[in-house]
Amino acid sequence: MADEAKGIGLYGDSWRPDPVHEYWDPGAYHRPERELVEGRFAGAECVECHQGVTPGIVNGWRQSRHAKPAGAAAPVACDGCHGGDHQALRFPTPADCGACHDRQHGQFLEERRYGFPSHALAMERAVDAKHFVDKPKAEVASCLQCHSVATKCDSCHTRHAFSAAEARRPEACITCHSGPPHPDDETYFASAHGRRYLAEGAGWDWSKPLVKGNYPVPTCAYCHMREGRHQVADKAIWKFGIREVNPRTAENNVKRRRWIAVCADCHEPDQAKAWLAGLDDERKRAWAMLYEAEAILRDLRGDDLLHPAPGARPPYPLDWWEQYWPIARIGFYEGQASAFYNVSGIERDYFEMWYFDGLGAYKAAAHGAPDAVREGHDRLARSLERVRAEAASLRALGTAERAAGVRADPGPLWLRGPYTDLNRERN
Amino acid sequence: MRPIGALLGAILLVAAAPAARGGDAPAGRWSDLECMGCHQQATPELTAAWRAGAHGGAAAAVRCIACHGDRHPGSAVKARRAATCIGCHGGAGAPVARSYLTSKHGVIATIEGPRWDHARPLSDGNYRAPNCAYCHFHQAGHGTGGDVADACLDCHSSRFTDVLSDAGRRGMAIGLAKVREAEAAIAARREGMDLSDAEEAELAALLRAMREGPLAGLRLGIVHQAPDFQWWLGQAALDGALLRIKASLSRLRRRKALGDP
Repeated sequence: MADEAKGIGLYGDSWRPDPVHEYWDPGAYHRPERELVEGRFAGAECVECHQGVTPGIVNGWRQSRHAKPAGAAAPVACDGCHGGDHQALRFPTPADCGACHDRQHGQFLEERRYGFPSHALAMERAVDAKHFVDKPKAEVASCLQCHSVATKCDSCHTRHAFSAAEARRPEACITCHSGPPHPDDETYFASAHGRRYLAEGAGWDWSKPLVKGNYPVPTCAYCHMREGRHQVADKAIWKFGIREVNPRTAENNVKRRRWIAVCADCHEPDQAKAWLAGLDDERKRAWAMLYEAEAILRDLRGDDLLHPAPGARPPYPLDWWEQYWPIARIGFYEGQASAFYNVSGIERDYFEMWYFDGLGAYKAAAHGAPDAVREGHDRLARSLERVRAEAASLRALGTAERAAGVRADPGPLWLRGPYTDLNRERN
Repeated sequence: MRPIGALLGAILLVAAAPAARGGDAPAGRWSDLECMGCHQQATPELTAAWRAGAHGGAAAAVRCIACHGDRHPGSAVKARRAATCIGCHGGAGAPVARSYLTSKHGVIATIEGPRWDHARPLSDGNYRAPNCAYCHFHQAGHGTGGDVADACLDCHSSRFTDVLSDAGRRGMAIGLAKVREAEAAIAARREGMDLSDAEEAELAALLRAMREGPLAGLRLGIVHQAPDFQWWLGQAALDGALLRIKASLSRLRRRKALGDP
């Protein structure tokens, strides 16, 4: 990356992008070719050369509707999206795609007004997270790989086939919607919908739009991008799941009606209402356990029993003032999950309970996977027990130390080391 | 062993010679020994590469029919399918498979693979996304552990693959720095403390788990371009493993300072 390259977002002045970022946010960082080929080329010339140089992408393009448009339309060849000047080639942004796909792009932009969580706001969510700013950029490069869903369209419609049918399949979502805080893949595939998809889906005609009657069971996009609308945010009640919400606000009641309308493509509305109430109930039970753990941690913090104490940990470089006023953050922190590193063991235990066990149970309940809900709540209960036991151990140690007049100095253990030094100096 | 192996090979070659001379290979069924009998003559570079790789060199070698089946028609097709590899490499839930299957390459292969013509060679961008064999046995190579970079270039520019692999190396170095920090912390603390065998074993187990879990996950996430393995199962999990090792060390030290055995 050129030296002058600067970060973007709220803290853009505080960080420099990694070279790989140009591929995840081409609108912000792409550098045009400056070395190899010079000249201006038309599509047929591009194809002639690239058939030999990078045949895979040419083969992919040949399968696409860009190469074989319906009716009398002219094909959209390489130069249509990348430009023809090899020294000034573009990586297409959503706006580039929107030049032709105006309706989809408009829907995608409209999503921003619903706030987080959102595809259209995903890049802002990533680069405005303090841990993204604070950590070395090569460490957090993978964040942008998923959060690039805001900055390019091939997250879901992979290049160079750009297929609508591909994006209708649930697998199209799982590269990002998988793993501990968002096991959307596992919970959907474990549901009655997902099991039927796995058994039969390969044989369905995926060229059909996502509307009532076209598919025996819904996929991710069927519900979350109803009728193919390019936004996922207008029905988000519990959102990402990181905070308890009131699911019955006026706004959420509108969203509930939207959900019931989706379910009503196949199910009785009363049944859909009961499912939504079941999700609310699951969340209530999960949050009861999470609040209990959070209270245990707040008590430890209040009694100065967290070890190391906040002042004896590496600081988050962006929060420089904390060296003067150290504080342990318990639970939700500025809409993100920064409290997963530079914290004591029990705080990390709580983070995993909150962020992994809690969100796993949420996704299981939302996707209709009752066994996974039970497993998630078993994990929550085990994590709560672990937090209780560790808190008791910290209290016993602290009490014994005070009785003995011993002061436990964590020393350099938590403040130094190859990674901690790198994080402090080279973020 | 070697002279005996050579002698056995020679005997087998003679025994298998009629099939080798028969032009198009007959259908089979074949045993591994019969495969080698012909293919040492027909495709010596393949058998040599196989022998030099992990499949051929392993104590219990993975031989021809494990991947190709025991009949000729369809033998290449079978070996090109990801399911064949995944069957031995821990199943679809194992990190090595799951990191691939959740990557964009794996997703495309899952969705479109059933319609692909696997009779096409593993080269020239013949598949819209690579499966295991496309990269690891690119252009019908039969070795393992080699450089897969050539396969990337069938679809991606060298600039892209260079930038991506440099970023991967830097990310991996950061993951390793976390493991080094854990090792250094354990070494430094051990000096001042009299650790029991059980305490030593607990620390060693935590360190081993850090390497085999999140460090291995990070590597798979980088090489297979699976973002969740790079982050929640990689870097962020390494952060957790590192601070838990530090928490264990702190707890041990505090107990010992209080005179606990």
